[in-house]
Amino acid sequence: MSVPTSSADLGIYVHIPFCERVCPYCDFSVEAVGQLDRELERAYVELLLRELELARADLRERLEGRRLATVYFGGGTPSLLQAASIERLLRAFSEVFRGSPEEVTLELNPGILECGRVPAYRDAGVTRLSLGLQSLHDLTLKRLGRAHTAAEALRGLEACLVAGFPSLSVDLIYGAPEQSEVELLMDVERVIELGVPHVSAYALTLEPGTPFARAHAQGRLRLPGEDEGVRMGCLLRARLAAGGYVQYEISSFSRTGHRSLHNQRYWCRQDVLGLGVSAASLLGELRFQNLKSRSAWRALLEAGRRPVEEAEVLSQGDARRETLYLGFRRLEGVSRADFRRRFGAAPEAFFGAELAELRSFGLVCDHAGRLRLTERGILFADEVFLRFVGR
Amino acid sequence: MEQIRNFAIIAHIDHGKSTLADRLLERTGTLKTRERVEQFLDKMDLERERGITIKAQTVRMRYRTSKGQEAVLNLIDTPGHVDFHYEVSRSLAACEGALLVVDAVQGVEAQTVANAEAAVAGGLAIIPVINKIDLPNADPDRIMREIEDIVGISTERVVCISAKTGEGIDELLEAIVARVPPPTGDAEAPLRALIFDSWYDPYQGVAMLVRIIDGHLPADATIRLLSTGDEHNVALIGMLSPELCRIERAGCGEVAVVMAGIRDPLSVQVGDTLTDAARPASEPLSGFQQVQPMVWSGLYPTDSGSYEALRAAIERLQLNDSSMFAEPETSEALGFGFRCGYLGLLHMEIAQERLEREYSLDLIITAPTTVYRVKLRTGAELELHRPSDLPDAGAIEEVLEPRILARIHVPTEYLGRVMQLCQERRGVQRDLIVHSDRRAVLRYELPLAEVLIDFYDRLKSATRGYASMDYEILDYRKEDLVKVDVLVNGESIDALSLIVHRESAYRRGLALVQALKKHIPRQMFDVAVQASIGSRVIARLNVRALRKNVTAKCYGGDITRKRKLLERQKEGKKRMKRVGQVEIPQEAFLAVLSVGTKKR
Repeated sequence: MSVPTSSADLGIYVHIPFCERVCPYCDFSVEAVGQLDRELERAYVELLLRELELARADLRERLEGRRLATVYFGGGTPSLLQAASIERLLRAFSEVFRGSPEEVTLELNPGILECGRVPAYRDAGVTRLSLGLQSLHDLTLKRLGRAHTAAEALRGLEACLVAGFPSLSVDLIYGAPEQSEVELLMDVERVIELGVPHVSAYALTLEPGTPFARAHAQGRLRLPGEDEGVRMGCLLRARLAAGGYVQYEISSFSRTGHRSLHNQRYWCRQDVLGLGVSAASLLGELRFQNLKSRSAWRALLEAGRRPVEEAEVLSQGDARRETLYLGFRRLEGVSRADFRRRFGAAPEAFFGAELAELRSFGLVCDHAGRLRLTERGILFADEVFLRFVGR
Repeated sequence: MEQIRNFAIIAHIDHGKSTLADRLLERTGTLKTRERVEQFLDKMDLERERGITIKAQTVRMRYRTSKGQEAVLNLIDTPGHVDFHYEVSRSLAACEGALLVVDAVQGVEAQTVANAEAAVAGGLAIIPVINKIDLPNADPDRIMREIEDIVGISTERVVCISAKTGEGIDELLEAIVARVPPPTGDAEAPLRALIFDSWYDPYQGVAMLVRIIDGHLPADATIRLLSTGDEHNVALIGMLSPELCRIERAGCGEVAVVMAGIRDPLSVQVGDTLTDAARPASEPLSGFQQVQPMVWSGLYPTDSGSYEALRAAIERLQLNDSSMFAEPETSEALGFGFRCGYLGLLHMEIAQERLEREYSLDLIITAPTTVYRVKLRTGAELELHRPSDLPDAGAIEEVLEPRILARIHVPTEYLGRVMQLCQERRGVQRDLIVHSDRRAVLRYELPLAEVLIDFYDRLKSATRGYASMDYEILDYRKEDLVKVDVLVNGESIDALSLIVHRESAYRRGLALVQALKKHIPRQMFDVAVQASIGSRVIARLNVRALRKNVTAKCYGGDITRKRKLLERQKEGKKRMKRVGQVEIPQEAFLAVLSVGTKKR
């Protein structure tokens, strides 16, 4: 339940930009590689280690003596990596930073190959799996362009459950092409029944430039109507709540003790060092993001330079806005006391007009010393965020 | 004075007026071929792009005839479009002759007739010129018959030319010297100069283009404007040849540019008489009949902080375009702006585009409307420039709207379609004259309001561009007119009100509401868009509420990216006008403009 609060600790995000195939709705930095070539894997891990060394040298005063709190292997499909590679990276992290991380998450696809590796990942030090289940229905999986079948997904899920990880999360998608409410409810039912302690449930979003966005624009993609999509979200939230899951963020649901420590670092603006293609970092007032092209990322590293594409130094004002823009994502909201401690005055002192307006629209309310989204605010969170971006 | 020939070229659009001007400049050596820019006289970018002349320009040329006679030719260019009649008549007031240019293929068109009538009325010597005789399908004989039949001018001494190839240009120059009379005027009398154009020079202030009618103007004079009595020391007298050249005096009958360090654009009126303060004339020249703008629309800065910049830009533009009117107005929806009056729709478009281009302003433009006369029950009378000012129906005795007499030149095969269009627009046919087996002239009485909205486009598409039209204001007539208001979530948006005939109220109201619906983004709540007459709703559409608006994922790499997306959204919202709780983008106000201006 607890959120890491020490500014001295650090999270590490490792981006693995490889997938067997690219899903038609995905706009992350990934490349389709089929099976990951051993040589490519080895080379990528080497470069990640080199990036770590460069960051360590370059950002010595920001990184030195940090305690490592969380590690997150995301992608892409990190489970294309062998457990030995994961182990190697974790070992390198523990040589550079103090302590051993409380949470090491690995994103996993429920394919057969990866399922066989599950015990080895546990032995390598992974404490939490995030399984890209999406759906337990063959047709929906197929329409989503996923590589696995429902049966494989279930087998994968069971393998993860029996492997004895301290925590486990599954991704569910709703509002998928031709997906029905009943189908979604059946998926949720199964997840609850199997005792999965954490669920990330995402409304399918048409990201510009993806094949799905194009197909939709051309009328070739039938998505559930807007009303139905909203209804699906409601059904899902109600069912998970009844199943003992607390919605602690817009898309995140957890049973007691299973919140993602690493993800909460983003919404609480705690430091994260990102390694790998396109990985993003926040270190104090410094936000930066790596190059999104693997070849450019590699070229800089080989030249002995950090592969940063853009960096910004956040002002106090930026930090205040971010505190609300990101903090509102958590349903607990933003602690007034924390805000006052950090910025010297109540949120109203800086955002009086914005907050008054949001209250009058019924999007934001006060509860137990915290500012947070209302039920309606959860549906219209971007309207809230909008007030806290820009200058 | 005996050497001077002041003349204009008048023609229908595209009949080659500007090309002819270029050729005259070239042949007289005023402009070297190598430094020639196509259509030199069309100075404004906008004119070159649209291929039309908007502002009259003037240039002085020297010519020696074949008999060795020296002549000074002042060419005063004129616009060809119907909306710029006023400019034409002003230019003609500075001339003794006019070249009536007619295309050797297209023949006589509406503006040929309108301009020729203005020249005849001004007592000018007219030289008929048939241009483009180099074209393979040129038919000068037929064109001559058309000029005689339709314009009513003898073609006995017609000059056939090709401005493109230069053929006939020498004969034309000879004809100008021989047939345009030199100016008359009393060179010994006190100075009287007619201001027939003006513009704003960023360094010199107001520049006045004048025709010296009597007396002469020395470069060291103190001038007096007869209408106001204001006096100014002359800073510079010049002539355009074609660049501005300084001269020591402007003699009787000449055309000159006068600059006197005048900074306030509003203090100079085109049509005013200029005299010498040292020896003033007492009687002003007759000037021009003040035009009545018939088309009005609201002009608002997109960013309310640019109001003062808009005011300054309008004042300077008016100096150069005295037929544009402007008065400050306030809209509940749009804030502070101006209600501007124009001679016609094209004039409006040009003026607005010039403001945006030459003064880098972003504008919101409201739908054009005409001038309505309202008689109240109390006996009082009003002239309305904006529909939202129309009083409640109960207070009104009657509403009169302006009508025009339109003269439409059309190939006979399209007659039916044009008549149908006119009938749809509440037109009444005055007469129909068939001049030959292929040309006819239709005259229709039409409400001006019906012509304002998409009439030209419809006419063009109905006749594949072969029809031409000219009009004059006819009268005001009582009609069953109603005001259609637009309400967004119950709040009336004054800037969108329209006055329409009761019969077309429903159609126009619905079109308005549909256009708005398309442009108002969905909000967190339903937005009702209504058109109403008084309290009766005639059209209603709902902009459905968004059901949700939430970014599903926001992890490390998303934070900056999604923030930038939101920032762009926020910028977009800033440019919207908020009415009540509803955010309305500027395009919505523009969309109303295009209601009907596009083909339905």
